[in-house]
Amino acid sequence: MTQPTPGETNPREARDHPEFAVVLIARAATEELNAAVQAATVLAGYGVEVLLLAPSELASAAAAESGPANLRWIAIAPDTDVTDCRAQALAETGADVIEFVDARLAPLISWDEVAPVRLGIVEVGWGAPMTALRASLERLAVPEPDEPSAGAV
Amino acid sequence: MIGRCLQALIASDLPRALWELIVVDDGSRDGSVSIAAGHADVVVRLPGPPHGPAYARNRGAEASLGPVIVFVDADVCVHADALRRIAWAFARRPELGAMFGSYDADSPQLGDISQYRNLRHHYAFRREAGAAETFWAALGAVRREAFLHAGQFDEWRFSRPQIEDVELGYRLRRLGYPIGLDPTVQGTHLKRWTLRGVVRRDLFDRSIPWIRLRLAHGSSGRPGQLLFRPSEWTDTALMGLAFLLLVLAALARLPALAALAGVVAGAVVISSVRLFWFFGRRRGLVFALRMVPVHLLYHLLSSLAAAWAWVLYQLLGAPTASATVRAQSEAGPRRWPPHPRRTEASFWMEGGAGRREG
Repeated sequence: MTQPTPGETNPREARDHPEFAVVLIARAATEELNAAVQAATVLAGYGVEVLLLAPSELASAAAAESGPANLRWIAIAPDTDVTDCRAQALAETGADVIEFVDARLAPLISWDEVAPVRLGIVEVGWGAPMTALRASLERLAVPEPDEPSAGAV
Repeated sequence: MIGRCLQALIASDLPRALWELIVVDDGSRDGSVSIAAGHADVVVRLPGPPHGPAYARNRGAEASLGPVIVFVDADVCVHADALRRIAWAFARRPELGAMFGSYDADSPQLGDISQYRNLRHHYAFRREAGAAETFWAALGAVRREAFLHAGQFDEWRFSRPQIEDVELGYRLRRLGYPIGLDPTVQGTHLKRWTLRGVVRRDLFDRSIPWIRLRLAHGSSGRPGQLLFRPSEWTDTALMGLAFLLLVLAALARLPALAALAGVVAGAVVISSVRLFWFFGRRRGLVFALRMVPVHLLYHLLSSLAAAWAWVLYQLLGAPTASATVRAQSEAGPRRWPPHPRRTEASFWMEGGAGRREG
């Protein structure tokens, strides 16, 4: 995914869907990096840029290995808080739609379902499962509020 | 402000696994997008100048995944239970097309005008709890199916904050989707209003277009109309009458007419005694008394809005998109971000207003 550069004619005019980037933030464990590579491999098929923010020693070691071409390693200081990490990632990408994910959770996400929606290629249809909402609330034991009373001020 | 509002959302007691937080950056220049990125799951950046809330909400909704889409304005701090109440409302009534909550009665640190506006909103919305004939997107939720069926917000006509939510609500109702007003779904409104801002917002961006819409399509006659509650109309008409009497008194130099105008204005105050009682309970007697002239001014502005809306409706009919938007949309190349799109289901497309559209 190319970035617009100063002086370049604006490539945005030619797009027919938004550019989508996924920002993965890894903290320490090597497993997180493996998870990120795995997610990036799936997302490469959609042309999605993946930014992996990781502590510098992990990033430099991992960058030496080959990975998907759409994966960019960005070194962060170990004590950088999430807000700063995300702001840094935001500045690094020119994408229109940016999703932030903890690297540990990346393999749990069905990117084949998520990416086409974020890219505007597929619209979530009318038949979205409302019945599943109640089941989810009950499964997670979300307390049911009282019915609102009408009219009293 | 955006940081406080996002923190309020993050503090929601609805489990995080059940919802995603999407922030749409509609051309901000103040670093809001960096703050938003610190909290959001997804940030949608719209390049260029601001496109307006209708357009921005549509782009955010398109990037979302869930069966229910909740819209929250960037100056509203939701209560911790708001999302949970919304989720359960749709779980209990899967046929619900949309629902909305209200501002709470807090924000006492704001000035009198802001407090009047927020408290009055809170009072009116609690009074109208239940089935609604309109929609409110500052803290409102819509079922995706209904939202798409209705054609989303009308980004073609509403390029700035106006009645894009009201108009969507009318379309949803016309398609048969129930809308609910649950005033226990609350948020604190942080906006600091000035008198000038209120006049501009309520008169030109809210009342006049809403009345034009109402003139074009009439009333369903059902409750839940908010602005169009009969007692509200009566007070507005009385304040218009008081204003006319005052003008006549000045022109004809008849003090009796001025006295009569005072009596009519007094009738409006008496008619609104429950509202002032509510103000007194919340902020004290002095505050309630201070709000009397503000309330009379509100109804005076509403009467002027009604008159002006009627004139505009007779002369112009429905509002329409700017020439630039129309030209871009008609050229129609597929691009992102898209040009404002015209929804064929727009409420303005039918009825008397639609016939006048040139």
